[in-house]
Amino acid sequence: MQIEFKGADYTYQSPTISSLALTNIDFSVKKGEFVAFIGPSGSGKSTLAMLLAGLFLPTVGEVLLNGEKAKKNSVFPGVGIVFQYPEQQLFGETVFEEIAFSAKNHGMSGAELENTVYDALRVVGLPLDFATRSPFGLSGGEKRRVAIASVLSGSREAMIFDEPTAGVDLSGQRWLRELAIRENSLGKTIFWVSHNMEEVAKLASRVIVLNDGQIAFDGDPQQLFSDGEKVAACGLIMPKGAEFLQKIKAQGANIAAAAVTLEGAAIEAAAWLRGDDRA
Amino acid sequence: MLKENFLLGQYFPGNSPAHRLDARSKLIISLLYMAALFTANDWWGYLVVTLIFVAVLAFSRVPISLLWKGLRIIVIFVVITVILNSLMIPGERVLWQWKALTVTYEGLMQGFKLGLRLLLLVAFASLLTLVTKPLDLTDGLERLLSPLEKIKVPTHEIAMIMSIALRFIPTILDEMERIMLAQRARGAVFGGKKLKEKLSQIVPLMVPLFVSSFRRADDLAQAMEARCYFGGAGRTHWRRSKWQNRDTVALILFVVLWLGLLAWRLL
Repeated sequence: MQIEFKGADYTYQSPTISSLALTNIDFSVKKGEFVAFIGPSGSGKSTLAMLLAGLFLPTVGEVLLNGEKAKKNSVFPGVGIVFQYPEQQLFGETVFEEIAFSAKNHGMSGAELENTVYDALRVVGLPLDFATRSPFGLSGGEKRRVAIASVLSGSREAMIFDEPTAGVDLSGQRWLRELAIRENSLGKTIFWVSHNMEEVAKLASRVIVLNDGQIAFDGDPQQLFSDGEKVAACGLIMPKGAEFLQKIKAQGANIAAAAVTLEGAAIEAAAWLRGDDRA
Repeated sequence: MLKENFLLGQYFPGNSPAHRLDARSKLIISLLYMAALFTANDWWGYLVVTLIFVAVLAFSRVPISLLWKGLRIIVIFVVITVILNSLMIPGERVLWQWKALTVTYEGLMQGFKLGLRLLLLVAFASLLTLVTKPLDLTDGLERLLSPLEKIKVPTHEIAMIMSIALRFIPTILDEMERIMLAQRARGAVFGGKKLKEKLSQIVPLMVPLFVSSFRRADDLAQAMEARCYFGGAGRTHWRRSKWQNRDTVALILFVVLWLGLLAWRLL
């Protein structure tokens, strides 16, 4: 699986106004990458997610999955997207029907469909007997798990998470991150749209920064976050770990400021306190 | 995408003479125009109401392209009206015949008249909401209905319900678009041709839409209660619209129009 953006623009059209959300987007993502999209509000992250899923077609340029364009009114097969409040899309009479919806739409049936649904239930950590219950009788957190399972069942290739942790409690956030890591380790490409720098520093192997509808940075998170000026120029803030190391360095400590996560910063700081020569 | 094709309830900001009229006069004018539409029964009458519409459109400075976008859906109904009328209405001058189907000149003309009537009706109503802020429209309606308070008609509540309904049309369309995207992302295909396909597409769209609309209604009710809303009794208005000379003039013009058409029809 490979997704390619070639000089893609996207313009929102309405009767009274049209606004350019993305300009000249160029990048390509290979199978198994964990890519984070970050940027200030209104920088075009969600629009980019729509293009990635094939839900929107670029106004100018091309977006290709394995060399093919998305068809109108269709999506890229095998690419799932988890929106911010995925539980708002529930409609099924049973949890089974809900989760089977996208797998069925992708042509699955019979035993394969059943296996996929129960697998998805297991992955999101819900008991298998939930399959016969109504999704509307579940708690908020359970509903969200069902909604995510319903996306999982139809996305063999890649998953897009559009600000998945907004409005979720801390254990829910951790659960979502672990889910993304697990799916990634199984070979799925993961796209993670976020505002949270810690999350990005911890999870992503590649980060694409959007600013004002354009790509401001595309590369290693370490490389981005070790450059304070670049981070500020992109309208972002530093992750806590990187910020701590930079501040302690500015105070005159001879410490290597290579880590960006809190854990990394703790390791660096401990080594420096012990007097190991790492700098 | 949906909103572009649905104008009723949307406001087009502006400061044209039509925008500046009092909502009350605009409401009465709309009623008078509708009465005029149903009074006109020959081509001269239809020519007059069409010209009046063009004049009002020019006064409102609403771009015709914007209005056209909203009317495209109605055109389907107009076409159906023309076809059905031309097939159903018997007449003397037969234009076309095939087995049991007959199109007569009289039927075709009747179809065109009804179609034009329908088109102008919706166009004028859309224009009313395009040039009047929803809040002004409600206030106007409430004040027009206020004499009915004496016979215990809950006029404020009626007006409030109407304004909330109008206010939420674009919101619900947005919501529908969002749900469509989410279901398309799960592989649903909208816009199938067969009836069976269409019906199976409706469930994943309508169930979440109903759920979210009820949730929204609950939220709104709570937000209103939290701000001590308790209905009509003793409510005052921050901004009171003023009836001005131009309102009287506009109103007289439309009364004359309607009476003229009535006289033309009866004499």
